[in-house]
Amino acid sequence: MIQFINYFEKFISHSLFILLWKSARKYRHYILNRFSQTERDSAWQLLQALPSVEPLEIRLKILGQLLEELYHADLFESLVQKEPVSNNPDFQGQRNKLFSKKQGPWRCFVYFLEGENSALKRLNELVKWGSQDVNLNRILKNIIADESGHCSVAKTYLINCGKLPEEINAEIQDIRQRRAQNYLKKIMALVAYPLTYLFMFIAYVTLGIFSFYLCQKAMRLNKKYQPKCLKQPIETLIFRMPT
Amino acid sequence: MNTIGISYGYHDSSASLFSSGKLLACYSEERFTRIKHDKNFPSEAIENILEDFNLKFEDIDQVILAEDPQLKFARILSSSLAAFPFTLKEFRISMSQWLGKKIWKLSDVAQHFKIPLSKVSYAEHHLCHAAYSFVASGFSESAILIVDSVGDWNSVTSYSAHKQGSEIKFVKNFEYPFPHSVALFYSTVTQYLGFKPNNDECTTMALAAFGEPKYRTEMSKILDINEDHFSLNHKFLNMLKFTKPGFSKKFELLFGKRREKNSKWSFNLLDNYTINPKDKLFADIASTSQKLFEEAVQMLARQSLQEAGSKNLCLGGGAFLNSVSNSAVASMDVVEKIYIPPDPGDGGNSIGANILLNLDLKINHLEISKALSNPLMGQQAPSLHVAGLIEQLNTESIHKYIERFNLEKFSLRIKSIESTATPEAIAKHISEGKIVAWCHGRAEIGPRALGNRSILFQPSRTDLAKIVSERVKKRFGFRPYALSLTQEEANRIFITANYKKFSSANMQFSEQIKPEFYDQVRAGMHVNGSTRPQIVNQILNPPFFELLKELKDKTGLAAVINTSFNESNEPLVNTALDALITFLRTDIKILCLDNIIIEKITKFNDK
Repeated sequence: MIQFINYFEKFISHSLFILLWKSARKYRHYILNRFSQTERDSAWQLLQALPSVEPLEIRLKILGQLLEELYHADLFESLVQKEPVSNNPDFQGQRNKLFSKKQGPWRCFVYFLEGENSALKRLNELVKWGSQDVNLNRILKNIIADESGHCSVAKTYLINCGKLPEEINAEIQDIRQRRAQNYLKKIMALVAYPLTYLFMFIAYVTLGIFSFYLCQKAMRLNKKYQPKCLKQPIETLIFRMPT
Repeated sequence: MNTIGISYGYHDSSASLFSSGKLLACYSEERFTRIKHDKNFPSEAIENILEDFNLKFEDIDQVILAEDPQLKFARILSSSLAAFPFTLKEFRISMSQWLGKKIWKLSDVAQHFKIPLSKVSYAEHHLCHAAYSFVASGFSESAILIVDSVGDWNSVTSYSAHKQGSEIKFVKNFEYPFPHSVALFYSTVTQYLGFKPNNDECTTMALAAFGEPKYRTEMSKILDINEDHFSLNHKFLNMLKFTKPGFSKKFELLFGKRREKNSKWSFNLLDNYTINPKDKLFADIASTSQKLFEEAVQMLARQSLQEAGSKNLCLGGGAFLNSVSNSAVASMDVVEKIYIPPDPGDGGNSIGANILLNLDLKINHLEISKALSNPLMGQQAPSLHVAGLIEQLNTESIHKYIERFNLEKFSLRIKSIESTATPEAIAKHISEGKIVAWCHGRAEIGPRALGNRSILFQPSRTDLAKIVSERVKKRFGFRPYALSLTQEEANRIFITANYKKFSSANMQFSEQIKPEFYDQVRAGMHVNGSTRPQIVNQILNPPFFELLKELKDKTGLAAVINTSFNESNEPLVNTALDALITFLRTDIKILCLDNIIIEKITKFNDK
């Protein structure tokens, strides 16, 4: 089932991705911006794990990689700026730290490896289905070369950690399973969307009709607001929930 | 008794730790997640606080949230219905956010700390600001004015407070509910000028100095200031429709089309004052809105003092990050003493909430006030974490990065690593005309770098200011830099003397420079001859004070340009590793980490 969902997700996102990239120029900035944010997040994940990476030689390589990820994020950002329609929204998400001190950095690197592999596939698609823009293609090819190097460093690190291929594969399966679950949630939300929309619409109209005036009054929108002198002593500084 | 204060949900999430009523730390979430103004639950900040002070969840006795979730929900529901039937989108978005998660904030907090709900409390957002400002001020009685975009419901609240034995009594005097928000008006103008609202207000403030307040009649149609109140005309604003720009079409009809977000400005502060007519229009709009904002805040301050019957004024809320309007308030005759806490914005509200919790726990305010005015309450950045890395920086992998990506013209090499980052050695580098990044001790709370996470260079060197603007901070060339100096130097070079009347340790007021000193501090001076100084406190920051003394010996001026150590759109660096990465990615030549100095030089000089 999980495998099926994974394939399904890949098929859908792959088709949508190519469709957007190939035919709708105005959405390109969105794709490039997503890449920029992913690269920046990737750098952040490496930053969390970096102090715990041993030996020093690999730590240095990872630092170099981290700098490259940030550089790629900057490159993607500059590509977004060059797009005719470019809206560069801030990162609105939340960081979910993959590194935990308890487990050490290895899990983080399995994630990293899996992420890099899928990013590589996407980037190759961008080049394959890409535009006539020679400069854009050159930049993308350079990034692809760097990302392939990152995969090999991550592999070296995992081997150095003494992790067995089975352990790594199990972790990869786990990642894929979680991704499938998240995807399933998204699909469910999408299916439920018309229902929630309808519910919200009914709630909005009902509440709006009956409480529009009250809300205007509460917001003091009915007339020009002029504050009153309150002289109201604050008796309770803090509140607690009734339990 | 260990208590944690938390502020999150809008912007600048943070967590603070008090132990036996004393502030031990306040960490901003953005410093850890590297997302500027991060609004998410401050889980990284909490994790790091607990780790740094060797605490576990079970050691935390009480937790307090700096907002009233129910009141805030009521405000959001009311505001999305008040513009019925044009706010379906806003209603849908905010209700799914609030009913899905935000309204259960207190349970989330309890769950995170694995403590019962009875140990989690909450306080009204503006009261938290008020408590922070008043208790930190040390005044025995005062008027308190809180101005921000919006708190739980209000956007302006005035209180009076006085100490009664070991307790503090607060009285609410007047309030302006959302959407009657003078700070949101300023943010809206910021957005109209093509900057980011809730982030780039300081850019609007900087731009204002290049214009003249020409559009007063037009702008007064939007913000009307009377003797005892202000009013906003919401036909020009979209404050209830957050999915749309803050200004309406009517606003654009009045002033013309908004400025494009990424368009370049025709002028800069250092070598080109010639403004093209289009940019002049926007500078005049910025200047007019700055002037009106100042007048509104002055009027509110006057009202606040009058209602409280006091001559002391404590200020709080993000609006008081505007140093020009702070100076306008400070210049009023009715104000005798004024106080703004180190972080008047939402980042400092976790401290405010914690103060209220400790007052409620009957801890004496004298105990609580002890460390509140110290801005150096962030995380320590020991160089230990990167020491091994630094010694190996000359390896191939880093070179590859530096050569390919850092700068177009230069190939960089790590020249030397010294273990003597004394103020004397740092002063030597600065006096030789180098850009120095200094990361030591505990980080500053709030948005201002005060010497512990700072980029420093000589105030006479406008060429260095240009490099920092273009290659490090990537910010608009018309934005000025701040000046850090000693009290004696301030006495010598300023015409005005706000710093004598009020604490200028946190870069919160502006001063006018005497013309004879213009050339010596050109890089730290705005187009109108003003600067935003930090008068360095010898007790709070001895190494930085020592550095200024060394600079006096070497250059004849105990002053240095001090700007935050970060790249564009990044929060202040936090750890030594953040500092190292920023150093490697930018054109900063010297990095001082605790006691280590690393120098980077161009290959053309590396002989």
